[in-house]
Amino acid sequence: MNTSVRQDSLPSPVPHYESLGGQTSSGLVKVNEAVRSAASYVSPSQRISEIRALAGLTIEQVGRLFGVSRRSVHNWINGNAMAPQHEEQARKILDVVRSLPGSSPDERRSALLDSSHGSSLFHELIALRGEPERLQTAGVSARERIGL
Amino acid sequence: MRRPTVGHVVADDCSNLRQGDVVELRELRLPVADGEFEIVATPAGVAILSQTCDVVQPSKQRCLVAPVFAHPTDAALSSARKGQKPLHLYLESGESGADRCIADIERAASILKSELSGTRIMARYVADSSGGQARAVAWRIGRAFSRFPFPDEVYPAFSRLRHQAQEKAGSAGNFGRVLDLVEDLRVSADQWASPGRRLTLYIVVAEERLVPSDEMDPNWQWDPSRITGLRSGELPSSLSLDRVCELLLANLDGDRTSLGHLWKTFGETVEAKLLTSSLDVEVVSFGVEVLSDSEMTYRQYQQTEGLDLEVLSDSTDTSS
Repeated sequence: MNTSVRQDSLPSPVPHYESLGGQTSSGLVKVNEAVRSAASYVSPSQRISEIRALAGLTIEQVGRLFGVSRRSVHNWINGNAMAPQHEEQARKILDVVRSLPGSSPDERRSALLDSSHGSSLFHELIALRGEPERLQTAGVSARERIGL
Repeated sequence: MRRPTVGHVVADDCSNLRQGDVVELRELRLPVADGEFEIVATPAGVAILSQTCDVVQPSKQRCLVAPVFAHPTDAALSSARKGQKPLHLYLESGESGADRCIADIERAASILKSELSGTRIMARYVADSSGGQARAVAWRIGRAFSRFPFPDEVYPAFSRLRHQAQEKAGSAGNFGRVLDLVEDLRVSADQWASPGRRLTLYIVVAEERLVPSDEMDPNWQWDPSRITGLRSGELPSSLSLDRVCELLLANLDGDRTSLGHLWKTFGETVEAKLLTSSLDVEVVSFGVEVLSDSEMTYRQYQQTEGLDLEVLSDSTDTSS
């Protein structure tokens, strides 16, 4: 599995502050926070790659966690930006995946898919994702259409 | 719901009308033979069939309307609600509190919008012009015109499927309850034109109720410890359709992997118990695929048609 992470998608990290020269103590705090924030920034590509590397998930499975196509996942891995709702979902997924028991991707994947107690963690994550409103609906139920 | 609209009159430009509205137009001119017209009394009003955007669009001069049946029986309302006669448009109250009614699409007519202006809006069935009720009304109107014309030759196979389903499962049994969990029934064929057709029935289930194979617990086994209600020694191949449905219903809120395997068994049992006996020279195979709504591809959707046994009829049938 390719777990390399593109570094060129980091945003321009440090906002401009009037006190960037370190004139005041409060200004310095702001600068330090901004630098720390930039250093800890995890790009969508990094998040997806880490999720896949830790839990051994396929592109298709990652797509289902977000409710997007495989193409979208590939695009994220290649450095495309994520919509805010997907960034939020990526953070949640990564938190869960990082906390999974096991020492290998296979073991962590098994823990993620374990449904012996009902819903697996994988499906609890799917339930967290937002869904667009459904426009196509069938006005007559399957039972009625089969003549029962 | 803007209830005050009901009882108001239609604006001069029809800008306050919506698809599905019933308007107090007392008669309708329908063309008959030799260029003559018949004046049809419409004491229950007429329903707007035209799409809302077209109704309110100033550039559109005409509007398609259908007479509403006066005093429909409960049986007729039930039949229309179930979609048994697609040309009988069922309109239900939703939030408006209006009485349920049926509009007769077979006698729909195009009239000048100016004929509607100043008439009273008797009932509104679409609360939000872009909401769920609007989609439901539009779906029912579209269904009257856009169904795929299955060839007459496959009708006997579908008819036997329907007969088997009714005989083996009945209307109140577990099979019917499982069908209530099904999002859609769709059918495809390798080709529709000639004998020897190979059909596939797609049973589409919401993703929440049917996880893909690669999301199933890899350590799962067919065992009473994982399937609620399963008796020791019961195997998938030995289960009746009713028993599979009973187990499926008992495991709805449990192990997703167990539920996935039970859906697979359901599909196999439907194929064996209901479809095999429907085969003939016209339909030589009829398989089943149970899949989730997120697994069905757009291409599969394009290659399939909704299976609606209630409205199937061959072109020689004049009973409806």
